[in-house]
Amino acid sequence: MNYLYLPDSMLLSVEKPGRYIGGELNSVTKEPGEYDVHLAMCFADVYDIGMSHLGFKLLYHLLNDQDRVWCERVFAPWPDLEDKMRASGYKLFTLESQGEAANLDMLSFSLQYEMSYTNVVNMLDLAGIPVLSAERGENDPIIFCGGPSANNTEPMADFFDFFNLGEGEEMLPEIVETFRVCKLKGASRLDTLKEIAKISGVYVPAFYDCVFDENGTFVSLKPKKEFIDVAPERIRKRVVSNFENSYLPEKMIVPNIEVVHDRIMLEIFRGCTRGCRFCQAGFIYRPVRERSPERLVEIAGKLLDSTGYEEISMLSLSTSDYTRLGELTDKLLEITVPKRVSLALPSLRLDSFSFELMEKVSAVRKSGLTFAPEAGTQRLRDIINKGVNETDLLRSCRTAFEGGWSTVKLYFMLGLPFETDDDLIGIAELAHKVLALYDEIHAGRKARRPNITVSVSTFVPKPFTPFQWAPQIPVPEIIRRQNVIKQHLSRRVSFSWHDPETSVLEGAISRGDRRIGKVIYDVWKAGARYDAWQEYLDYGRWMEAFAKNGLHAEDFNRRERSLEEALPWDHVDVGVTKAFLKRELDRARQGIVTPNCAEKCAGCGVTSYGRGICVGKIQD
Amino acid sequence: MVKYRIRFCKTGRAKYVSHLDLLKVFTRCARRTGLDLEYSQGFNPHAEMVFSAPLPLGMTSEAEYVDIDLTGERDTEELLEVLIKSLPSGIVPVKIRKLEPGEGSVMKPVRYAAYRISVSCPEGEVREIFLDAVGRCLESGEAVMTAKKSKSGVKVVDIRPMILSFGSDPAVCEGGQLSFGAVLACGNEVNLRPEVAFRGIFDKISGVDISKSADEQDESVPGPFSGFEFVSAHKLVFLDSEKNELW
Repeated sequence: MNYLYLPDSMLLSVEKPGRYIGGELNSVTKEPGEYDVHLAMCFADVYDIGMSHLGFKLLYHLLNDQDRVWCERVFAPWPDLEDKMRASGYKLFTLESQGEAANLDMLSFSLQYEMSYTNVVNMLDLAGIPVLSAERGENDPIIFCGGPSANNTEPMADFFDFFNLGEGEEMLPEIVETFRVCKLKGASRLDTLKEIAKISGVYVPAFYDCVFDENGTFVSLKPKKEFIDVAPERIRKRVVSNFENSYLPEKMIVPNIEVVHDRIMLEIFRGCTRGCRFCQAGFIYRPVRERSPERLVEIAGKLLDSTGYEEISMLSLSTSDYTRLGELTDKLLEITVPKRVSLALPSLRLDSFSFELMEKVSAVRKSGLTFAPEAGTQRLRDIINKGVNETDLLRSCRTAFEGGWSTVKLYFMLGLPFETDDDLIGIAELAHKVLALYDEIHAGRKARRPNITVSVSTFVPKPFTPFQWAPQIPVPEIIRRQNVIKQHLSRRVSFSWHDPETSVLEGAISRGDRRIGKVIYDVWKAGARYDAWQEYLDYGRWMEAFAKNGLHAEDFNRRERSLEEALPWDHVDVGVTKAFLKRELDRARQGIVTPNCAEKCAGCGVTSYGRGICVGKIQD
Repeated sequence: MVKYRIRFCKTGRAKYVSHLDLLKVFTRCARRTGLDLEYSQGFNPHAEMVFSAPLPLGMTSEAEYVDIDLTGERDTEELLEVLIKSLPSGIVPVKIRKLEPGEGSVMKPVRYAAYRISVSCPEGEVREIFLDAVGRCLESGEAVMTAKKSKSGVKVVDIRPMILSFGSDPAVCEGGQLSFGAVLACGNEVNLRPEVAFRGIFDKISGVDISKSADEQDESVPGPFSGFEFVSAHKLVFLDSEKNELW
């Protein structure tokens, strides 16, 4: 099919028109009559980013493998194109059919980061769909979302008709089937949403009352009386019934243009045993479940045949924690080496075993080694439960330097709870020790100049972590702390940091309540889009939108929440209990480390799912 | 090691696949189909593939070429079929042949390329008048000075010697656009893009003073051919110095 929604003259006048044309290998088109439900997976960022997310592509193929369903893709046009589209009256369009997105039955957004929320609103508007759920009518598509940042539902509650909480692999087929039955029956929008609300893991914001006290503090979120039989008080995160055999596509779209992550991604396990207290992913993706090397190798082989990719990368929160890593690596190498496919093992903990693996896969060029101590002192590393110590780190660096590496990147966070200037100075000192080690190893010899980078991001407290009650430091304090590190850091170490304003906004949204929706609406009205891109973020515009609603970002960031108060995300049950998070916060305060759940169960509550490592079957 | 030359079309949506991305498209296709490409030696081995001159983004073509090195001999018919099945839509191999040892690169003999050019234009007599003006302009042998990008930057040059023909076999195609043939210099030495040729001739016959920038042009008097705009070009074939069509 050669029809394109946009005229050539427009496509040729923008950057990378290949983003907008679809038709890639393994993309799916269906004929009218082959499907009853027509929906699209939407990503609130540009094609190059969206097509780099495994979950997005996986769910696209999953939906297309359903009977009577056609799922297309929609991405946000880059601003250069959007301006031209708006000027000539073009609407948001789908890639496969090259038709207007507003004509579909449903649009499913994958929410990966808070700063993409203005793009969600902007995309709906560009589609010609009312942006607020309450204003949409019988002929508008149903707009829903899932993904990690959907877990705090409230900031986007005004915009979505429903939320999927948890893993989509089983929920989505149920949703589209329920929708299909409703559509064929001619059910109203409300009746359809009522049916969908009955599916485990679904949250329909319009079915709930959100109560604030006179100070604007969140009080409660309860199902409205009339929806009490369809809307549960708490929505429990969905988990696939069997991870080992859960859906994995055997074919995957291969973009024709360069995207950020352009390779086969193999999700080797889900969840993380480590329990780093700052890490939301470490809690919300529990329980820990692995796929067997046999299944992974089988899928890898099929994907290689169907895509022709030249690289496979393992995907998980911590590759080294995969219990059969050596075996998996060997088995994958058996199929990748003859095909000249390279194998990447990202986020390895660097012990001797990893070095052995890296030698084996040899795909790791001797240019980049990264370590994530996250904090500068052992005291603070214990507080955040990051099980890395200086001795191990320096030992790994020694092995690396002796093995010819000269580039080391060290990742840290600043603004962690209980952080003092000593911890910041500790970051510089740790970097200097790494530098000194390099000098010592190469003493008296002609050596390459070491390339040591300290990269410091700003900690943003997230819901469903032990630090969900903690205050977040404001912009001037972030800048001061960045400067403390800078002042103490040798000029031989390069330093990079995050934009403080982005962190503050991300913080306000990620722990925001329903009032944030008004801010998002207003800032979008004032022109915000592509806020995840530094060149488009206008902090002042955001501050004005907060002020217009009688709010300030600091209301959400600075305040230390009391352990007793109701939290705007209490209606979402991710399995990890609040009691556990409180215990972990208390242990953090005391600097007590909590062991890895592979060693000892910390009683986080996820055992209630009866799956994975919690019940002694890591391969679930 | 056996070298094969593939001639392929780039049509439809594939016109938005850039030259750089094309290399990936072909190497991945080779991997999918189990073609044993010969890889370069060295630290970062890559498949040896040589493409014909880059096609500008947005242009379709029936005369694109790639030379590939295979580790062993293959039946060309079968190879063609395999490639057709595996390449993404819009990239369509049309023929394939084994290269003789010592045969040069595909671009070596190329001196010209033949195109079909589409322009948008008003309806009616003005089209005839336009084509007449183009014809007279070329016959006059006068220089056609126009701004042209070269390795050393943008320069105003006479492109007339690079135009073998322009405006032949006119036809009115879809959407009321005017299309016609053109044969322009193409190759390693001199190269004239259809869009640039159009701009040069258009300015000349419209009496545009090209020493002035676009902003300085007098817009108050519409030119005789206002409304004529370059839309697209389709490459048909490469020609050698004797104007013979390439395989």
